Amino acid sequence: MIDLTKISIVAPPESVVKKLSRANIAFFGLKKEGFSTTFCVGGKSIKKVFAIFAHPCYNICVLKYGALRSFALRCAARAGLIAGVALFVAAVSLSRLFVFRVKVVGSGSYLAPQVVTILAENGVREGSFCPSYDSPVVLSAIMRLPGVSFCSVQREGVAVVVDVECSSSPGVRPVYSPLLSPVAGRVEGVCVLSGTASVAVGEDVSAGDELISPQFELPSGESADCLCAGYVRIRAEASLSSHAQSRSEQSLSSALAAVRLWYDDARVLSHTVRQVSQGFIYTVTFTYIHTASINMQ
Amino acid sequence: MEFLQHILSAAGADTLRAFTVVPGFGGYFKGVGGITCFSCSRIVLAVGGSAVEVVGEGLSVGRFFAGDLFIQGRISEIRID
Repeated sequence: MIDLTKISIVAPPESVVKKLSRANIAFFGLKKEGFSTTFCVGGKSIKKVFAIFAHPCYNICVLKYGALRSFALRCAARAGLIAGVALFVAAVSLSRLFVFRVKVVGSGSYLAPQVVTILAENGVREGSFCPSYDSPVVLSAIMRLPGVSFCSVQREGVAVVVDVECSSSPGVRPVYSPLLSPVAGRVEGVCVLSGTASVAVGEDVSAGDELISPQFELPSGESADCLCAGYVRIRAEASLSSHAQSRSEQSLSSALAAVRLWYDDARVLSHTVRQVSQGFIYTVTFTYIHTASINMQ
Repeated sequence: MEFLQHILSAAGADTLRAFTVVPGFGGYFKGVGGITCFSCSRIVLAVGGSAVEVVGEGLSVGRFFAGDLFIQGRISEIRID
């Protein structure tokens, strides 16, 4: 019996025993301490004991409540503290279901805008309710970014930490500038892995025009700087001159062969023959595909 | 217990008014009607029509309910009047 309450009463033990036994109240550890008698009763009998010794001549008091009642009284006295602790625990537990910060670390931290966008597409964005996410999908999407060799996504409390590591060969450094067209011509193909395409297929471009810009559009509509990666195929026009001793079919074939020697996919548009003092100059005008790329090593 | 019952029956004793004393620990008393005198060295019990006087040191009532009484302490002497 653990819920025993210790009571002290100023009365002779004989009288206490007589009254308690008459009321069929079990008591324990009855002792005489000076003028008072102390004993223990079960928690349910406290009211009955006080009723028996209700007369003012008995000075009765509780010395110590039982374990259960003491615990209840202590809890009641500290209700505010307990409520605060419970609230704190609940807040901490609930906060783990939210994401308040997305942090990209590692050598591939320059890919942060793309990583943040990939996470956002999978429901992980700052300030959002996110009890879980599809980790394999996120990891595979990040691993598809250019140069990424390792990736891990971990939750650290209210933060999501993405470790992105990029493998770069010695001497190959990422270029942070936009991709500019080295030649004039017509765009035949665009492939952008990172950044934003500035031209479309079929569009004419001049030398120096921007082909891929190092900007990235966030889901919020704002643009952020990023690393360009991709290539653009441009059909450009060029001419090649070669010298021949005589004007003949063989000389023309040699001039065309010289063109194909440089460009396999050359399409000959026209050719001209000009006579000079020491023979003939064959000039072949043709188009070829020039591929401009950035960060594709 | 059968041996105890046999002895009590042979003696004509009433088991409801029996008691057991464990030296140095205490004693268990049955059929106790009340306590007529109480001190640390002497407790007098009303058992039936007789009085059982328990003498010892550091005596206290360990438990008392429905006529069953356990006295804690070093009991050195018991007198029955």
